[in-house]
Amino acid sequence: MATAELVQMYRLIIDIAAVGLVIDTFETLSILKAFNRDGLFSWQVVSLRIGAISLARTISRPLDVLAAPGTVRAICFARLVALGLILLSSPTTWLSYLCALVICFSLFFSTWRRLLGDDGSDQMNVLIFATASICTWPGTTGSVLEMGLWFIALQCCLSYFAAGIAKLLGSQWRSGAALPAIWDNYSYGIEAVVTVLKRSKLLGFVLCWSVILFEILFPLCLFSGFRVCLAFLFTGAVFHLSCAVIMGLNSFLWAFLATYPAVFFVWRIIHAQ
Amino acid sequence: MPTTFNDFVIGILLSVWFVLSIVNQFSPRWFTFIQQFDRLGLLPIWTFFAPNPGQTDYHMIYRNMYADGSCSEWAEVEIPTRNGLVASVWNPDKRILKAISDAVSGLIQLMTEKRERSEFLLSFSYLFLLNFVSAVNKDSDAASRQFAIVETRGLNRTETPSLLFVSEFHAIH
Repeated sequence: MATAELVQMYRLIIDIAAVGLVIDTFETLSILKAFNRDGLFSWQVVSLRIGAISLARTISRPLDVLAAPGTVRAICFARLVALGLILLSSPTTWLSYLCALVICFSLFFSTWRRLLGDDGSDQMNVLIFATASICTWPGTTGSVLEMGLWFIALQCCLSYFAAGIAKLLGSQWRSGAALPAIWDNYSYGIEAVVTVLKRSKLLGFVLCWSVILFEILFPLCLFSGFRVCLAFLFTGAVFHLSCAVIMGLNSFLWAFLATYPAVFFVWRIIHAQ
Repeated sequence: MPTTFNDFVIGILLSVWFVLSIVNQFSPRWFTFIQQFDRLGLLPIWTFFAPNPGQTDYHMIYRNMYADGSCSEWAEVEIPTRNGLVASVWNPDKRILKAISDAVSGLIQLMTEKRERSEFLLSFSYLFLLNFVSAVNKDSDAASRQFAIVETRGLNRTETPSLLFVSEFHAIH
């Protein structure tokens, strides 16, 4: 595949992920007080787990500064600037590459600083921007760009496959009780959906098995025909949109959709041979 | 196919990373040696809501003890709830909910492992929740505070809440 096409794939991936990260960063800024001394993510407590408290003062002091709420705010703003610039620039330019690095390190920082509260979308964003940081430097080669796309696509397939197998191992998923139970609470539920599911056990069963089968079979989309591949990607998009609407998992939508161009790229490579 | 040394190194790096990601899904005991170094979240684990999905809400309640030994009534810590359909686009509180849920899960894990109470009280999950509860609705007259974790099931909460855990009293000044 021509380098220009590979660059275009990265552009799509980065743009979709960046939109999600812009929302995520503003969300972090809106709960910044949680990083205060008496907040949920207080460094005085988080540092106990990280082990910073046992470090020599010369090391732990800079860590205290790095973990301060002011630094968290500054890193959020730096990430927002990088996200804005990366949306305007083309991958494999110096500007885009430096922005990818800034975003990648800001994601590392967030995971390190929060310690708890990360989810699968954070993991996927780390994979995407770390891959961009490794593979899209100016002067990179076509084969490196290709390897990065393969890596993102395979991580996407692994994510669905592993999640599907884990669900298959759960008796509640197999019996169809899992989704009605997950949705019947304040953290991830909506009353209207639960009311419908309570009326029909069959619907719960069908939904649980639909999710299990979709997730386990997802890697097959790489080897299927064009229409089946598109159907998998479309189903995935609907799946994540539903999770966003019903469960409030808004960041998953952007992080996982961002990997789909890579999946489609690998499909094209496999079918070109 | 890799054409230069750089390409080769990057190919190896991404391959090793992907293989480690696969192994991480199984979390074999020997792999904890590698997992402990993954402070940046480089190794994903993709078992969303499985095999045993969480299906309850956690609530944190607390009471204060005063200098004369009397105690206040139990009060609930306000944990943000999801803002309906808005949360499908804007949901900052998911971090708070997830962090509390992670910490409570950590605490429950220690309970199921039947750890010593002293070990329990020094655990990260316990200190994380204690710090959070201690900062809520401060009462200058209170000498110490105790918290508890209660679990409810269902949006209609028709079942009796279950008490999961009760902490010690801790000085809050």
